[in-house]
Amino acid sequence: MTKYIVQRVLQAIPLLIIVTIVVFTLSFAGGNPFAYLAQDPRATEQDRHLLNEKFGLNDPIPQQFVTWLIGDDWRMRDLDMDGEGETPGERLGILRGDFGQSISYRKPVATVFAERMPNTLILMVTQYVVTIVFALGIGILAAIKQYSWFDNIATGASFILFSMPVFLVALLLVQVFAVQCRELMKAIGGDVGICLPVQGMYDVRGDRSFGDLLRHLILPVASLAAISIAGYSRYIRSTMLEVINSDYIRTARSKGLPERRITFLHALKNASLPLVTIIALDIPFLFGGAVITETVFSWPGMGLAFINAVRPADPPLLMAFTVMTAVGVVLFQLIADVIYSWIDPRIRYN
Amino acid sequence: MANATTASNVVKLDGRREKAESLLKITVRRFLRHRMAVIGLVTLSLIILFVSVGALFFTEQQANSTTLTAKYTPPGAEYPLGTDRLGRDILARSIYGGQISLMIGITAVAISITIGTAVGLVSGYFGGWIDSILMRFVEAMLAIPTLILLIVIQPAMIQNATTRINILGRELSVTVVAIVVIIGITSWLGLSRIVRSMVLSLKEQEFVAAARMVGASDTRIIFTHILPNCIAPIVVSATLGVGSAIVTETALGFLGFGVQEPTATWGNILSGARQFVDDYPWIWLAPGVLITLTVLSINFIGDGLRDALDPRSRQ
Repeated sequence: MTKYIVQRVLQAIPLLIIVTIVVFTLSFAGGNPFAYLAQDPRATEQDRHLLNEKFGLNDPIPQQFVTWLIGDDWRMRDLDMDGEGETPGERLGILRGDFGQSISYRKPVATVFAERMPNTLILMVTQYVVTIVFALGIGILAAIKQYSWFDNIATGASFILFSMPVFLVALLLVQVFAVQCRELMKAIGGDVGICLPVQGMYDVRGDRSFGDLLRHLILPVASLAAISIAGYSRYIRSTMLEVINSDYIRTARSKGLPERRITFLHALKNASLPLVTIIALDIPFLFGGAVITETVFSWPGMGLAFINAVRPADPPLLMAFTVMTAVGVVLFQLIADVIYSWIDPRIRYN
Repeated sequence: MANATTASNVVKLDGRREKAESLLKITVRRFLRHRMAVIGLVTLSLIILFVSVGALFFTEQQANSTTLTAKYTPPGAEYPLGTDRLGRDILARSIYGGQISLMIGITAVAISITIGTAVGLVSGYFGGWIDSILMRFVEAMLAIPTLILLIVIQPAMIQNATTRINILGRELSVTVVAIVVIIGITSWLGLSRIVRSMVLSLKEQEFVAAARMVGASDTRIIFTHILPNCIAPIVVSATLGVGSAIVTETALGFLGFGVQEPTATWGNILSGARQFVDDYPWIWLAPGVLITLTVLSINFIGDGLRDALDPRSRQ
């Protein structure tokens, strides 16, 4: 096993090199992030040169790539435009844990991420737990009552949800549970406060309490979970069906075990094996947040930071975000494989 | 199911040999048996009818012209689906936007199918270091979530967004081409792996060995012996690909990174909706329903095709 893990880690290295080269090339091709200053009368040529020099944008492209990877603290930068370097570089490079300086946020990318990661995790972990609980329930029920009305409705609903863009689900939920609800409450003279909020994590003048956070979580979580549940429950249904029709379940049934015990102990145990892999493979996407959902609900997380970094261009943040996600994906692919062989002794990697 | 009418090459009692059904005929018959797929095909045809016949009632000029006195008009007699933030008719924009969205879906898939099939064929057939390099690249790209990859590529591709070009006699924003290319070059990864794995097993089979033995060139073997056998997954993935390309276009449009106005697409009609989540639901409702119906139909058709083309259930 150790040999397998080492082998996989070694295989991941060229993969990540390709990712970094591609991401770097793309964000470089996006143009100079300070180009917009050319139109700004307050910014002088010298200001622009200083900014470009500070962010290392005057260097040749390969050198910029090296700086991004391993930093520039061993050489001098020319900040006073006299053609000679006099200020030592300050960057350590992504390989030494320095994600660089975010241009749009005017602070280190690592700080931006540190501020936003908890918000994203609150949203994504809640969403994930809700998804798994509901998907398990719906998937199991649909499998043991195959072709019943429940199964048919679940199939139909998941087909529709699967074809809907995520923002459409979000907009519909907002319309029903916030906008129409408020209209209704105004019309019947009820309390508008029971309608759900749609912006941010807390009320602007609120007490930032846990209850306030929960209320703000409902709609973004629901719109994310609705689509994930559609996919997961289909998957659980099909693995459950496969197991339920196997010989050892028939054996369990014929020796007179209660149906409940067969479903939840014997069948679910084996049906959940492939599920573990799927869950592990989805974990890296939790950290990146949901770009679209965070945008709709102005949720101050990683996804929103990423979107805001596209225009005006903030290449350090974009690159750090993308590379971080890719590393996460590769890492959790390995973890998924390891867990799978660990919980299912029939699997051996050699 | 194996009665005299469905089985091929059956010698009837009176001695006549029944003609074998062609593969196309078998596929069509089995596709038509898939109820949801047929419903999907009908719905999709109706949507195509809507965006083509609808264009007879409105000019593109009307779809793009702004009437600031009539902005945010709710659906009513004059504007059946209401107007957007610049007073443009949502119905007219849904019609012309639909044409562009469907066109983006189909052309983007044409690009991605071409690249995906080519990479899969080359990688699987030649193997060795070409295979290693191509597949490492595919794996690396798969490690970046598609939406994030699209957004990172987008600024590199769209630099002078206001330029217009002339396509089929229509003035369109140059970003239409950019979006097609962006979606095309980011969505071939999965298909290349499917084709590669099919090629790997096909090239070991006797008919390929036989072809090689009689001196067929690599090109000939690839195009006349291997490629035709990979058609089933390519067709299915092309069909489903059109649906996901349309969703991708709308997601980009919604985020404001899609086709630039005034050219309408289903995606950028929705882009205004982001700022007005609370009010004016008609701005996103009509295009939203059209997108969902289109993608749903395409998914059903894809499912039907998958079943119809499955060689393991030839009935």
